[in-house]
Amino acid sequence: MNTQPQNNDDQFKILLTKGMSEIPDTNFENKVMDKIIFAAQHEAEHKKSIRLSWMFLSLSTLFFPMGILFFLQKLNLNFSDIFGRNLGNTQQFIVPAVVLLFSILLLLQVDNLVRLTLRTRYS
Amino acid sequence: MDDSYIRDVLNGDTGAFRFLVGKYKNRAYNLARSLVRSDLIAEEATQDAFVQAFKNLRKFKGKAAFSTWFYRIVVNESLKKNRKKKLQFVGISESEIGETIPDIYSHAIEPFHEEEQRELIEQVLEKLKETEALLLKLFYLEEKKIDEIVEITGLTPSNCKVILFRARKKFAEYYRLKVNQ
Repeated sequence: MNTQPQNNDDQFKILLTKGMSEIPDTNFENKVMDKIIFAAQHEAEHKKSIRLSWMFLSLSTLFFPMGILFFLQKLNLNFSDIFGRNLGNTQQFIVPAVVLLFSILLLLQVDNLVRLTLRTRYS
Repeated sequence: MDDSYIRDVLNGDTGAFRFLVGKYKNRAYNLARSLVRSDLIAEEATQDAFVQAFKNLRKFKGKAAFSTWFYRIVVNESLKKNRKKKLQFVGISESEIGETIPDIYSHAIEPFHEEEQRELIEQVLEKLKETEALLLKLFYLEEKKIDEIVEITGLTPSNCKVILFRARKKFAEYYRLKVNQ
């Protein structure tokens, strides 16, 4: 004969324990661990990509203006050679335009990268 | 116990998470099953909950028990799966408090086999609303206090008490009917 539990709370606990079912899939743990290992690898790669993005952004910030200035100097020389006259006015127009475009592009990239970095860090 | 494994995981030992999976898989599955009412979807929700828990483990500050924090994720993942059914945590009137809950042990299920007992209780739980079944399991199986259940479900404390009371009453009634069938 069964000993009757002390109170209703005990009765509920006993009954609900009897009603507990186990996960049918015996391979559940391995499946979850596979997903977790994949997630961990993905996260590590994601962080690495962000670090590389920052590095290339820094390098391009440094070298792109230098390259443009160098190119414009060369361009100016070539135009002078071709047309036989100084294109100083054209260069005066092109440089600010390039600087403006580059600044906008740079700000957009920095903004995106900061958002991505923060989201990765705090998500 | 959980804390040391959590620390190991945070220190880069992904394999240590297996301990937490092994410990909580069936409990999480049972909670998910209360909400989604399907073995397959409950299993998916449990898997997703573990992956989410792993990804967000750094957010776990140890203020509450790991189980409380994790069950919140299980509930969220189950609700995500259940969104099509538009499950809502519905409160009920306070007037229901004060009614008595029938004694259930007098209708013993001991003559049933273990598997039959499990199926019978499962059938009774399925008669309850998702939230009611969830709260019963959290309170009795997981032995969570009301404030922890509040944290897990997002319900108000008074709502929790009312739903729990109603769930106990309904469970006892349905159970008595089933056993007498």
